[in-house]
Amino acid sequence: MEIRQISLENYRQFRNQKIIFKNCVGNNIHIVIGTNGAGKTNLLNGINWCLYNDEPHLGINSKALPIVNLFTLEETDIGSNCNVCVEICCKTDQGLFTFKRQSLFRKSENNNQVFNINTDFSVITQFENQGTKFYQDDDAQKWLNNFVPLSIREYFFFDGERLDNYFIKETGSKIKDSIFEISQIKLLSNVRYKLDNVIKDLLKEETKNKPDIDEKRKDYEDTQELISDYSFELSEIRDQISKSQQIITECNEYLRGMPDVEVLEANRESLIQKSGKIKNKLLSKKDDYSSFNKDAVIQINSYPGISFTINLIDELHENGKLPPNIDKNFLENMVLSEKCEICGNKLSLSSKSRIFELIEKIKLSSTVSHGLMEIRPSLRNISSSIKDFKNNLRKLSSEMEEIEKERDENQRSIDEINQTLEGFKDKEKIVQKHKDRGLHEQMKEDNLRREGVIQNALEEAKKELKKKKKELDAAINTSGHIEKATMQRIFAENTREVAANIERKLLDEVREKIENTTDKIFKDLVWKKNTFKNVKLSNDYSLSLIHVDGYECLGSCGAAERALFALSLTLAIHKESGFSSPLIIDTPIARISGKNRENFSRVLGEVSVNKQIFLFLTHDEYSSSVNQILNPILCSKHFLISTNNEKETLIEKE
Amino acid sequence: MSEPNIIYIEKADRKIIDELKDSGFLLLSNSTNNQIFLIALSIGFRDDIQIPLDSKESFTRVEYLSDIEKTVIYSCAIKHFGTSNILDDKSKIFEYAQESAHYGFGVLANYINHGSIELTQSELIRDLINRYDQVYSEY
Repeated sequence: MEIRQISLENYRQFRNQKIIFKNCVGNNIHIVIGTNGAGKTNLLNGINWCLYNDEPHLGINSKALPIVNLFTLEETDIGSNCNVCVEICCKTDQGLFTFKRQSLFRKSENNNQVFNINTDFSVITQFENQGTKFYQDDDAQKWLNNFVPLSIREYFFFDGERLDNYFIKETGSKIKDSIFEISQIKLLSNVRYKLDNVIKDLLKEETKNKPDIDEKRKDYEDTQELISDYSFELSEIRDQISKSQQIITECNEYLRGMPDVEVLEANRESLIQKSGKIKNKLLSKKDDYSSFNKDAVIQINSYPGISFTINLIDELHENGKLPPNIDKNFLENMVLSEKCEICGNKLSLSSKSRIFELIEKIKLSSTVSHGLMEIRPSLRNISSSIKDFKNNLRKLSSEMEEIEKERDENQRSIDEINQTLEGFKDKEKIVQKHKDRGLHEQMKEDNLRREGVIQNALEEAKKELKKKKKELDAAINTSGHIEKATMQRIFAENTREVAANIERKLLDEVREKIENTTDKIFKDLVWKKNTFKNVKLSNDYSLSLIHVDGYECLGSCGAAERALFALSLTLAIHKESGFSSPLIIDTPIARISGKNRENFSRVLGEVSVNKQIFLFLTHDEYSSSVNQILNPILCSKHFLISTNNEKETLIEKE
Repeated sequence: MSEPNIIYIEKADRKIIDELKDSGFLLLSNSTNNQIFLIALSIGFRDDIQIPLDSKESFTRVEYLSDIEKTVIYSCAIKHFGTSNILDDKSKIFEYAQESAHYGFGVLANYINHGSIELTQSELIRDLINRYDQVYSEY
């Protein structure tokens, strides 16, 4: 199935434009080039609007504007109508069919405001031997569902950003929904749902007018409802777990080999604070050391003098040339009071005369003796402190060395952290990733606990349901003969079981097929042939890419490889869904840089051999190297040219 | 005889003292003037060299000297003059102290003007240990 023509009438900046895509042999690749704001994304919106009546990629500027072309609107009188129409003409083996959406808008009194009067969606087929046929409403919808159903359109028409962040946004359950849609098992699940209701009705009929049994039936149905609630809750929890796991994996991949910046910064801060304290400690110790050395210089240099004077005093003392060490006033007071100041007794005459002798001796002593007596205690102090000079010097030196060692070790730790942090420019992002990971690890843990609790409750409820079912069946069968309603119910129950089994098998089959096809496509297209081992689509539908060394590596892949992986899944879904509709990507390589732009362009070229591809590119994306790869295989190249103050865009073919 | 109450230094030594304080040598910036004077005096005593002051300026007051500081000055003078009777002539003691210090300031100036302070300090400590061994065994 191929798109052959797109016509846009009064749709946003396209006043009356038509693009024709010719039939191609070999590569089926078409590009539309335009500057930012020229209308590439609105062309994609136009296709979505025509098919699904919405504009999922509308930018902020466009959101503020009416859907009707501004020039047309200006030319329309207030109260008059204007028509917006987009047509997409496709070609299949049977012939041509065209999707057409047409909306009538009326211009209101508020300038540039319009309101929708009515919208028609139709499909026109022009098949060989069948002439032209016209379909509307449900019939038109059926044609659309055969082209690309709404539920999987995001695999066909999308913004390149989707390729970039696909694995961040998409959860297992979303992929599961797509697989559910692709498996086309809606019919089976509808059957199952309808049978559930039939069984309920039949049970009601069986227990009618039997209050005891009816009580049991209600009890049974309550348990069924409880199981359904538990199952829903369980699926929500699992979804959340899967999402958390995805974010944890992505963070792990991003943070592989990266430090916990926040912890390192905190450590660094505390080491710097410690460094300040050590510095002060060292300064104070150095002060002690200097002070000790200053005293030592004085004491050691003057030691011959100190020692000489000590010996001199000792000698004078020994020869009795120095007065006794007594306070003269103390003696005089004793004589005056006639009382011994030591024992308190009255002084005898002989004692008095002895004291007088002493006072006389002191009077006679020279200033020399006094001077010597005055410095004697200090001399002893200096002499004794000098004795320990070496020990004290050693002690102070080793204390200083210890502090210096501590300072050096602390500095080394700071340097190591600085060195570790230096290589990482995006520190904020690393911190955020650590936070996200921590948050999701906690959420995952909480949800796993909840999952266990609900799972247990569900198992218990299922056992209870079985028991209640037995009791209900037994109560219904007590009458002896089986009624018609019972027979019908048993048949419906069996049928429901078969439908459920088929549904499960089909889902598993499609999941497996998509896994294998994604793996094959990715390996065929990837330019690093020896890096990746395989693609995995697990039972919970979460996708992973395994490195040849065995670890999950999606998070550590470059933007181009991630986009290729998303593209591979997209193409696998295309293939397995059986929808051969074209692939339209807006700005597919804008987020890819350098050599990988060429790699990715080459891949798109390869894909276009089997699939019609439309690429909406900026001039920057369509660089000379990309041009060299795509130009030789292009089917068509169109340019979007903005005119009239960007109110209108013309589409020109090269 | 009146006792002196001022200690003088050679005018030019003031500059050396300032340089010593600025140099970081033995962290002299944290020392009192008395301490610096005694270091210089002890060097003059060690080498037994005194240089008379040409042009003196007051440096500190005698009353500001601690007992230990006085003891160092007196005992150096006693040893130099070989008698304790010198204590009777304080002027002579302080003259001796001032002239010894004047020489000592010159030595200290040499310390800080030749080579790195750290090396000079290490040398000083090594020298101090040797001298300690020597004087302690001698006296």
